[in-house]
Amino acid sequence: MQYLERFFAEFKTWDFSGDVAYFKLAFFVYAAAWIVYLIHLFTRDKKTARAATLLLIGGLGLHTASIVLRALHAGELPSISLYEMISTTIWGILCLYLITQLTSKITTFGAFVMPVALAMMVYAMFLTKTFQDIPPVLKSFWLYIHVPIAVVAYGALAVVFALAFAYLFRDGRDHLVWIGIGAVAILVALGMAVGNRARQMKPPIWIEGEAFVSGQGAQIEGASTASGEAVLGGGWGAKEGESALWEFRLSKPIPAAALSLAFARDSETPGLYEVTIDRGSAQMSPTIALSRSPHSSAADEWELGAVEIGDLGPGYHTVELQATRDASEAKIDTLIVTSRDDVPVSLAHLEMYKKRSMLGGALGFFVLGLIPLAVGLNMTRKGAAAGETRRGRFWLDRLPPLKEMDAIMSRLIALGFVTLTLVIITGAVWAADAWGRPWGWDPKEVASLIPWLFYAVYLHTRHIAGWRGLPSVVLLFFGYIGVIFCLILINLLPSGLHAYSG
Amino acid sequence: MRTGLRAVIRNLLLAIWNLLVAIWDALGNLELAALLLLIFTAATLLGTFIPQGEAPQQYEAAYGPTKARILESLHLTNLYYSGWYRFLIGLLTASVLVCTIRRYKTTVARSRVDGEFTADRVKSMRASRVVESKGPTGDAAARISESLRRMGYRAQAKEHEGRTCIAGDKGRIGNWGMLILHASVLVVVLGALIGARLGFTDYTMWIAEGESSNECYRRDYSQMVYADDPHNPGQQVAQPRIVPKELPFSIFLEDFHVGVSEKGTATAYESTVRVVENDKTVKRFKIATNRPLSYRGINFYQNDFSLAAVTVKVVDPEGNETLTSWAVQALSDRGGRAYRIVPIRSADVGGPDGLMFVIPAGLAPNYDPEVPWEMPTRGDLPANPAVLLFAHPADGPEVGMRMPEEIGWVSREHSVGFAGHTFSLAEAQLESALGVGRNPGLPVVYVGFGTLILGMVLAFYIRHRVVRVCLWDENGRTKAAIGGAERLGDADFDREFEAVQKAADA
Repeated sequence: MQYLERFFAEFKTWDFSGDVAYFKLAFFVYAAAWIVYLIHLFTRDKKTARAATLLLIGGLGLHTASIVLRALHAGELPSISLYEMISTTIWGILCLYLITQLTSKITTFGAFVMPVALAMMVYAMFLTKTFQDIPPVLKSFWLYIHVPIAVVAYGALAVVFALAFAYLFRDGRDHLVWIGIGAVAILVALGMAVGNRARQMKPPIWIEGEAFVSGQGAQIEGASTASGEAVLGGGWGAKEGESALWEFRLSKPIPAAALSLAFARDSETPGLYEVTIDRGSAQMSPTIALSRSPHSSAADEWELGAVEIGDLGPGYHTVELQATRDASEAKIDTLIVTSRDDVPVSLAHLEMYKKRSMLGGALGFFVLGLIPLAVGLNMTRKGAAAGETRRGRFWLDRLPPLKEMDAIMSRLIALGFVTLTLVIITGAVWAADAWGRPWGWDPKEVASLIPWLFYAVYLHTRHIAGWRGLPSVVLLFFGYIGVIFCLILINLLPSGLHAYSG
Repeated sequence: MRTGLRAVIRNLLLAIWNLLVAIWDALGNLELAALLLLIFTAATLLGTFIPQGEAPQQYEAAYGPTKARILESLHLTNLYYSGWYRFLIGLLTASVLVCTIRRYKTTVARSRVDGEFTADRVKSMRASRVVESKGPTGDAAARISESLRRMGYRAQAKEHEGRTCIAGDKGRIGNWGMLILHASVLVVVLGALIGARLGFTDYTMWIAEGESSNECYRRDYSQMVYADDPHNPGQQVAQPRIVPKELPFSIFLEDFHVGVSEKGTATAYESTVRVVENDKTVKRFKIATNRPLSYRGINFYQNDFSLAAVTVKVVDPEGNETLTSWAVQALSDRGGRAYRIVPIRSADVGGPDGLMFVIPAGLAPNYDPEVPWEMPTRGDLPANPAVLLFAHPADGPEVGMRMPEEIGWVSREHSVGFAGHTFSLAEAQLESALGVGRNPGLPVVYVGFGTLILGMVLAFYIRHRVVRVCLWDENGRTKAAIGGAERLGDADFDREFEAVQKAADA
């Protein structure tokens, strides 16, 4: 699948002067740590535990290096883009897990916690890692209070989430885990299917061109003919109805009367499709036309869709090409930028992504969700009871008694809830200084309130309604799903005072 | 007949009283509280799935006209400000209020540790054991109390009916955590209500450099009126009603500064202002992002800015100077912000034939002299404003038939000569938009925040531990029953038991 291609493409470039290389390296070390933790789960010996812990510490060291390098380069705590936020969250999760392991002396939890962190890292690989400018509102001492507390909060809650899984396994109810995973996948599928109609989210497939070093833009200065070229790795075709969106940012404005963008199949073949943008006057928007280049012999598979081009000043501009017929063969991978009048073109950033229907993804999630659901239901039918089956004994020997696990989880939830409250409070006090009101139902503010409410419900049902054990854990499970949702998806919404990131 | 009426009234009052008691009991029901919280969470979650506060057209485009209308009628498009959401908040607050009041009694009761109990009571505690003491009872009691005190317990020995009871406890304040926590929620809600009732928010004040203003305004989206469309002059479009507000003092803007980074993005926004009250400057302050001005309880925040006017200086061959100013209008749309001179007015500046008119044909917010411009009216940061000037003669039969001649772009650093005159940009007047608001409830909210954290720390981390020791004589031997219990916890009391045993044996 193209997602896999994209994922593996990430590992083609290693630039150790930047921070991303250390992040990628940390990923491999964390993955190795997980494998060793899994081995430890079976063998239960001290050597594997020590090896896994050392790998975890090593990975954390590399990860810390990546964060520190990024902070030094940006001049500020890395907390602006989605990639930075997820990176620091993962760091927090693993730090807190390490502390939990060292204080509780239980090493078998690692097999459960590592995949949570690794899954988030896989997602982070797909995100754009370009440095974003720090908006003035983030230049405040509050950043150094609000963000670290948030890291601790989300870290603690993630570890609890992983421990909830372990709890269910220990309880002999791992069939519920499978059912739970299946249920979540099916819920996601439903959400995607419904959301597809609402068109709230564009599922982008980011491709950062090989002309660009990850994390920095590249300047494509023109020669005397004043044209520049950006080649992306791997062309993308499109099926009928799909759109390819080209987003580019000019670092210097284009003053010429017309700017040409040509999309070509490869850098050798001259432009197949040309988008001509006439600057227009102050009152009128630039006029844009898509024409087939005279050199091209390909059929007209593309049509110009939405174009958001301002005055060709600095800023992001988007050109959308819609495939009117099946254009899977017409793999466009080159953007040629030409301006008239010998003016140099300075392209700071180029990305291409496809607007595709989420129904395919929804179907995929649905099918994927059916498998664990079936496995879990099958287990339920067979009636696996704790301690009686061979599998039950497996977990009994490897995980501490439920009461002890409950105690550890309680401590972590207490930490997570108190720090989550502090996140909201520090955010409110900061907002009162910056925006004039402590709480404005901004999407990100609501997104921080929802997990808090979830865990408040958890605490109430536990102490009031006496929900212990299974129902409690189910609530925790969905609570953290809510946290993930809020953390990630809210950042993708374009509106709100909080959304700087991409 | 009268007795009948009295009976009816009495029954009615009784019924109302019973109803109120029933409501009180219902609100004090903890399960209901948990359920309410769950419903509230679900309602809040709903607002993240449906975009909030967008224009009706957006919803129609995204959901289709029927679904969009359903969403709007259910107030799901402005969920957090809707009546039913506020009703939920009210219900939740009432529940917290009643539960907190009820909890006070139980908290006080739990914090009390009675000094009189039986050995059986001790044995029934969560952790307990029975030991034999090797010394006389009286001494043992004193030693045990001392050892408990050394471990931080508040211990007291009492003799009662032939047995000695020693009760020790610590962390009593932990019991108050829950109460303080929930009461804090009420304080925060109270602060929010005070702020909403007695304060105001969402007002903006635009001031141009060198000018002052004492009026701010708010856009009321609940009342749309027809007004001139700034994007299409001559047409009218539905716009929110402008609600003005006059302040008892005025703000004078000395200077507005935008810090621009190398990449061309903004690094800081600063307004240097003076507060003028009764014609006297009372305060001088530099408002910046994250640094608001507060005066008489009214706060001013750096929100936005724009270009207000440009002034061009013309020096004729004899050295006479003329200054002409034009007002600037900024319009924001999806492509960014566009600046233009409105109204375009030609200025009389004299000339070689007597009179020359100068027309501003374009305005660039961020001019780069190395790059030949045409119409770069867009851009967010007026870091280097420039005006494009054209000239045409005022007199002569060819007026109207001769095309205006281009003078060129003039900016602060770049001046142009034309027909013996020198044109330069004398001043680009920026204007700053300050957010104006007043929140008298904010200190209350902050107090609530503080006590909330205090309550949480007490509730989660400080546990009330009680140790009870009962000494009695049995067949000439002194027996001691030791018991320990922790509220909302399962900690073991091994340390305490060992210490007590040691004290008893000593």
